[in-house]
Amino acid sequence: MAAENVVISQVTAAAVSVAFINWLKASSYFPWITQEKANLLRVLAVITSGIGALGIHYTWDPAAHSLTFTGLSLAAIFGAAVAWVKSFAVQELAYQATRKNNGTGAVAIAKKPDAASSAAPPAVTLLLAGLTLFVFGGCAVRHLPNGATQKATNFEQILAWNAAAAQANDGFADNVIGLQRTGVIGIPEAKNILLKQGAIAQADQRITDRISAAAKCAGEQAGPNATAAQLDSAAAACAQISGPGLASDINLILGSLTDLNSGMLLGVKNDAKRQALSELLATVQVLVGKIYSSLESQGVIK
Amino acid sequence: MSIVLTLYKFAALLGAVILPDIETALKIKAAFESLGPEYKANIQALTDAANHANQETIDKVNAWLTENGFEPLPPDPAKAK
Repeated sequence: MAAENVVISQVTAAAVSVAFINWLKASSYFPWITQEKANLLRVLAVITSGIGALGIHYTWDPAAHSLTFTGLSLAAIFGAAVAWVKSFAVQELAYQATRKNNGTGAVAIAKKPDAASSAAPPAVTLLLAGLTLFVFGGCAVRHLPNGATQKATNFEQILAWNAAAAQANDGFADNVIGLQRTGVIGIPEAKNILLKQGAIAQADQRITDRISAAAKCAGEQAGPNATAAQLDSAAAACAQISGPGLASDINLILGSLTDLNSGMLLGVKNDAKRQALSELLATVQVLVGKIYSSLESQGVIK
Repeated sequence: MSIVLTLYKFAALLGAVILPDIETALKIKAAFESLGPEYKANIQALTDAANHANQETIDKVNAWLTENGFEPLPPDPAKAK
């Protein structure tokens, strides 16, 4: 009878814990706890499983914001640890038995249309990359004082793509450094990736200088009342002298991105993180590709 | 025997267990698609944004390289002129 009570208590505690975690995932009050935060959910599962396992005495001191656990002997800690593992196992069984078969909309988004049977990366990653491309796939517009909008000139658009690419590369560096510090990437692998990123940033500095100089030259030559078409024409003429240098640096960036995507990211031990980094690189590649195409169509790059 | 778990320690423990997410790409600002009315001002603002991001990348790469005992990036000869 006593044994039955223990089992029922454990199962009940596990069920309550699972319900609590599921509520956290769905609740709008905790937007940072989602289906995709696997590590966080695992930690929560371990902590909440302890609720059912440990009869540890504790005292909360509101003034010191501290929680004091008492009555801990080596034997008690070992016993508690065993009980905790048992409780976690029961809770995991309850979770696996009761969860919906991941059939949520978010997971459906994660599947690429052409992805065959390979495991899909987390929805948040693809959603982020999709949003990034969506935001920068369109055209830049000028907002006029009378409330109307006007298509940006070609070189304003190129500089907009360029600034976005530079920031994406900057964000990529943040991620690589952060992942190295948490052990997801080793130091030698991180070094190789960051050296490429540094080279990309240096090349983009030169590209920025050349495009900006051509755009400023166009403004001076076409005059303050020039139309967008006149500015486009003047900028293309001003940029002619920079054509070979621009082509060389754009090719350097595209080559570096290819290197990064064709082997250097294999040092990232976590599949989901590697996929996310690859998506970020794809974003930079798309933006730089747009710059190249625009310069080519204007006759600056031949 | 007793242990004291402060909120700070609990946060540090969580921070050590939970890996960072890939979120910093959101630094890309949608404002790049929405420009002001003046050509010259737009050119300057977009140039400044790219220069700032590139310099920040180079600085953080150099800081990481130095911190881990490597040589920093060689200076760009085109920039040095």
